[in-house]
Amino acid sequence: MDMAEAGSLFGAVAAAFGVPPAALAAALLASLLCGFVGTVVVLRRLVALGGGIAHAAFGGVGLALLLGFDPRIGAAGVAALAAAALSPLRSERLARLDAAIGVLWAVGMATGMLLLSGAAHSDVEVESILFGDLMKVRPADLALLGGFVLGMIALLLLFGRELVATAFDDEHARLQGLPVGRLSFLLLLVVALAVVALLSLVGVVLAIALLAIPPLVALRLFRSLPAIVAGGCAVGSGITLGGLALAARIGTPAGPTIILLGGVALGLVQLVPHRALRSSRPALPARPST
Amino acid sequence: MSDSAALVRLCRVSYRFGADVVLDEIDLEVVAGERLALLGPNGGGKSTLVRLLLGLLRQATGTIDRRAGLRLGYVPQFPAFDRHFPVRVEEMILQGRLRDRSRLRPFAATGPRDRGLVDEVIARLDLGALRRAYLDELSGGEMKRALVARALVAEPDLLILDEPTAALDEPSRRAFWALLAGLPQKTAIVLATHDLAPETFAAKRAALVDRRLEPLALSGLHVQSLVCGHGHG
Repeated sequence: MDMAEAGSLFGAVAAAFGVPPAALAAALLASLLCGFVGTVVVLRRLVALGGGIAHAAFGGVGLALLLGFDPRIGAAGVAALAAAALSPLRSERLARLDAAIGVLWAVGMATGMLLLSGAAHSDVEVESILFGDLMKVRPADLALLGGFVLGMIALLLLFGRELVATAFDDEHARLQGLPVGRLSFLLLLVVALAVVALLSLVGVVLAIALLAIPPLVALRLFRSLPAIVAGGCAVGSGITLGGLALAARIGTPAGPTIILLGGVALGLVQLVPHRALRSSRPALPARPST
Repeated sequence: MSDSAALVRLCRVSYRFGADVVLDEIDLEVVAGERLALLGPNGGGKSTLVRLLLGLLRQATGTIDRRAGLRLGYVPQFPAFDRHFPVRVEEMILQGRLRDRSRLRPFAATGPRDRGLVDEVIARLDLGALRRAYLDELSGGEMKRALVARALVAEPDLLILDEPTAALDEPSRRAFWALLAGLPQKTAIVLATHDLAPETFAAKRAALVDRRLEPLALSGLHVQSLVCGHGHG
């Protein structure tokens, strides 16, 4: 199959879903972020922090528009700054930063709203920044998302073991001589930039939910890290493609439809028996000899 | 460090938490083959001293020197990680070999020597039946053995254990002391505890940590000076 045939097949699939090919491609790329980055977000308890960074990025969008440059650069810049400021904190401290994250969340939103309320930017649709529009995703957004996914995969191939060790136990990783400060920054930067990459798809408000819901579903079903990541990608594909198709059919906004579908999946998976799936130790383990 | 036998040397080290002095003017030298017990009450600063030895905390005053390339093994009193993180026992133990992973071969899987060491340590600590189990399926004693295994596969020059027998029942406790007694003599061991069984640990030196460090006499053993620059045990 050459590129032209693949392209026409992809177009046919998109037509079957009733969505533009760019939206289908963006949904598939976003699914990879759900599996890889979303798993980090959930396991390191960075959901609130990711939400805070997304809302701080909104302030970056407003600043960029005020100064007349690409809002994606503004969002990425602010997100990277937030990651740099927070990465020196140890993982359990990050998970307890709820008050600071709440302030980051509100200040980012307030800054963005104030900057966007200027007369010079009255043509900007605040709603599209807050909730995104997957159906109208532009080639530049798709290229940004594709480039980010490729970069993330390269990073995992190079430093996957070190990143997992740091995410699991940063204290032990430090004793092993790993550059924990740099690895922690890299982890937070990937989360921050993933949030930014998803802004044009589902917006500031829903980006972190799209990252968190698929791995939460997968965590309920699987135990091993590779299975959770793969499951997160699969669930991400399911809810983004399903949400897109549903939105196209019933005429609802794509982003909220995707997140609601994810919420339903997360609710349904709670019905799966917990213990039966999760026990992996022998029924009668050998006890230590005494 | 000028003295090749010294692994870690603390000179006049103090640590403060806010206005509180947690450790005051500590002099301590840990040498190869050391068996040092740090005793003392809860809140006396044992865990803080352990973390200073490891380099996980920075002292307020004084100097800490570590031998270049020092390999550390650490068994914390309370693990810093989330027990629900999806890691199997054998995967956690394998993380003790991260230091030896080649930077020039980032795609390489763990080598046969790493796997061999993990198998050996798992057998020695009787963890074979649990190697595929996840961490949240372990009891307190099993988790402690898994942490010891992770520390041992690093082939440490210095193994530091913080309250290793806390929350263990008596049989597990005896098994743990026997395990420590059977470790290679070249591995220095520093043990922080308020529950020492010196006859099984075979401590050569002991010290009381209660804001300051005071040498203690161990029954039948000569307690050597812990003061920096006055020889070592």
